[in-house]
Amino acid sequence: MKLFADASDRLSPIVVKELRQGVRGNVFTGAFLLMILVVVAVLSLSLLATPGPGREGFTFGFWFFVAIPLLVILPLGAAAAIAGEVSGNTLEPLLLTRLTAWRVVAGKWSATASQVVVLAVALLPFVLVRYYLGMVEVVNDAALLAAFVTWSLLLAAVTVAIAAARLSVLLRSLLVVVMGLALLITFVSFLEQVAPARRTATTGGVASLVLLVGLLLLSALESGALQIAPPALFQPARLRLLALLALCLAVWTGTSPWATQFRGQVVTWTVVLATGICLAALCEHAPLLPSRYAPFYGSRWRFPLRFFLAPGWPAGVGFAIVVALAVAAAAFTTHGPAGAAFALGGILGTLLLPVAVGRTFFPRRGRPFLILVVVTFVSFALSAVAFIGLESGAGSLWRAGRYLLPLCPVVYALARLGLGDGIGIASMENAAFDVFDIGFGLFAGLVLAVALVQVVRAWRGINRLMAGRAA
Amino acid sequence: MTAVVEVQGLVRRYGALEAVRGISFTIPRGQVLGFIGPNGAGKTSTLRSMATLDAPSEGQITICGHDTVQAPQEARRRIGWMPDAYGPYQHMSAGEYLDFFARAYGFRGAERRRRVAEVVDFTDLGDLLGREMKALSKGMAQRLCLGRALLHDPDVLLLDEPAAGLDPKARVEFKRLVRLLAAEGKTLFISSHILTELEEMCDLLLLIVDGRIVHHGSAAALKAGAAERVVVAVQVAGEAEALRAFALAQAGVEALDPIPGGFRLGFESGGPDFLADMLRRMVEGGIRVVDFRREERRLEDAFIDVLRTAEKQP
Repeated sequence: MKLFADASDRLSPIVVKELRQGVRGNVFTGAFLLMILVVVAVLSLSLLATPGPGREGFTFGFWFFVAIPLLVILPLGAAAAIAGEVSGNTLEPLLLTRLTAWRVVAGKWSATASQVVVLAVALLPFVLVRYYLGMVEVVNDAALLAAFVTWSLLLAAVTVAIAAARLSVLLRSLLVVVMGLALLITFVSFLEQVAPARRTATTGGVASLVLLVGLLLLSALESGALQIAPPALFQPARLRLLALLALCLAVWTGTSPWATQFRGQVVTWTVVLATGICLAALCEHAPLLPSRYAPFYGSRWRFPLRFFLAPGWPAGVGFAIVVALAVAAAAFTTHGPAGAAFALGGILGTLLLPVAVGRTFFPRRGRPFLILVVVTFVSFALSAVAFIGLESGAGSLWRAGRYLLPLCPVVYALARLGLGDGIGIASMENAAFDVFDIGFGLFAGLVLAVALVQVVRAWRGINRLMAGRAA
Repeated sequence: MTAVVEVQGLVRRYGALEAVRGISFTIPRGQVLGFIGPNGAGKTSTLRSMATLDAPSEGQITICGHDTVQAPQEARRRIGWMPDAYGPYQHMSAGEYLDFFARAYGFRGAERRRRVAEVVDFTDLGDLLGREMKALSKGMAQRLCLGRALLHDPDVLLLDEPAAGLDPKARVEFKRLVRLLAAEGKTLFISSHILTELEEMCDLLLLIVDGRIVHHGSAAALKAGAAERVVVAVQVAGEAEALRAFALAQAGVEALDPIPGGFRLGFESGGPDFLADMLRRMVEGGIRVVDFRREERRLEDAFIDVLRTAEKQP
């Protein structure tokens, strides 16, 4: 009996709390009951329908009503749980206990995950009923349910990360909608390829997709934890390592003949993930807190790690260089040395342009993300004008716009490399080395040089701080 | 006495704004220190830095010898934090709240139940354990918060505006708990706007203005410290407004606040000659004085004087 009374000690305190509250709250109970009622109604109506295409509609209805709680209500509930802690001033007392920010975020997500599993288990009898009614193959339905559960868990992690961000409610809501829709589109695309006949799914394709989901999920939770971590404990190294792993997955999926299925989705999402983490790293403040740099000092093998894994934007620049080198290496295999050079210049020039501008002209501005958005937008806008002019083949004025194209180096690089699917400018793809390439190289090089000067200054300050601490 | 809390040269900047400007102080074990200052003086920045929720731009804070930046986890184990804003959880009783935090502090099984029982006993929450948090009064909620902050038996308690919004009975109860904790050897750091409360609860007061410490000592020292100015309660027969008009017309006299049938007047000098001269002028001016009583200086008056002095300094 005592063992039973203390069984909950084995669970995370956050999970225990959330489940207690969840069971008494209306969201989970309401969603659960509503889903069961609607699913029963859909199955009952399907019995009245004649076999044939009419029943297909009921299959769609069945999964549609399963999707609402799994893909909408429960993930939003997870977001509300963490947002409630922030807005209710309950997060800080929590963070002063032995719970780390990671355990708080993971606990919130785990509580939602357990609710998702409860819902999925409650659906299993209905899947069997559908099988006995001759509507489906039971394995197919079970696989589909597993896919719904997996995506629900991923969506919950992403919404938790966004809800933890120190942004306005409007911006967070917008991000939830955008990211949710983007992930749902990927999910629907996955279903289109897999659901009609599961045999179309290849092992490599599913493996790459599972790895992608795992990386996205871990990155989302880690990112959420960093958002709520107190400054003295802010340590983004794990998140950056996840970004590097995502790039490895992108390279593997992009080059392996074993993983051609879902290649587009996997490469797109891994690049989005790595870019997002890179931008976050470039926007980090670098307050001079010795404890944050201490893990990277005092050991010879950790010495190089500090330049791209330590907290703060100076290491963020190093991380951007590592990411750019990784992408350039991938570009080398597909486009040769020229491809690698364009990829390197394009990525570094674009990522570091806001750093070079912000740190040179607005060193004391407290909002680096705003500077990043404005500089990147202006850079993209200028190159977009040039891009449109060149594509339309309009007059000489428009053609002169080519001079503007290098101002957004990544656009120039894409135009030069011609990545297929309409990306790139036909007249520039595979063209011989010309004067505009020199302009591109000079601009990207200048941006890199200015950013590096700022980085060297910042590292000098950090090294002085650490030397003082050692003394 | 051993200093449990040591703050050395604490600076906190927000961009170009310097909220805390190199303050230093220590608090010995078992002492209750009241932290006072006007809005924007740097109280919250200091308190949050001490609680490891914020990081100092410069300087060092140690709690029981543990640096809050170098070893935040160690420092936290010795800190009990009670924020000013009480955020109740939905669908949770007071007992479940304490149980949840006991779990979060790492207590398991019987030990968890024992710790919860101890703080329930200390804060007298026994009758409230089954009550929904949302249904607790402000006083009950404050006791619950204090109980939560005590669960891991911290050496230092950081309390932000703990008496705000409490009714008189709850305040008396809260003061009793504070003194009990100090007697048990806990060190308390209390930020508050209610000066009279701090005067009764605290051994020491720390006044902060514009990010700088302007007083660090006892309430008695603060009240005695401010120059010559004295406060006299004057009651008159008839219209009290005549007294205010008199104060306005005289150099070195100020009408502080009204009392029944008169005003509390502040005099720039407490010398007998000066006071006698003022009383004579009142009578000659047609004011029918029925009571002219020199008051012990209040903490509020001393606080205002210190603020004025600080404002005059560059």
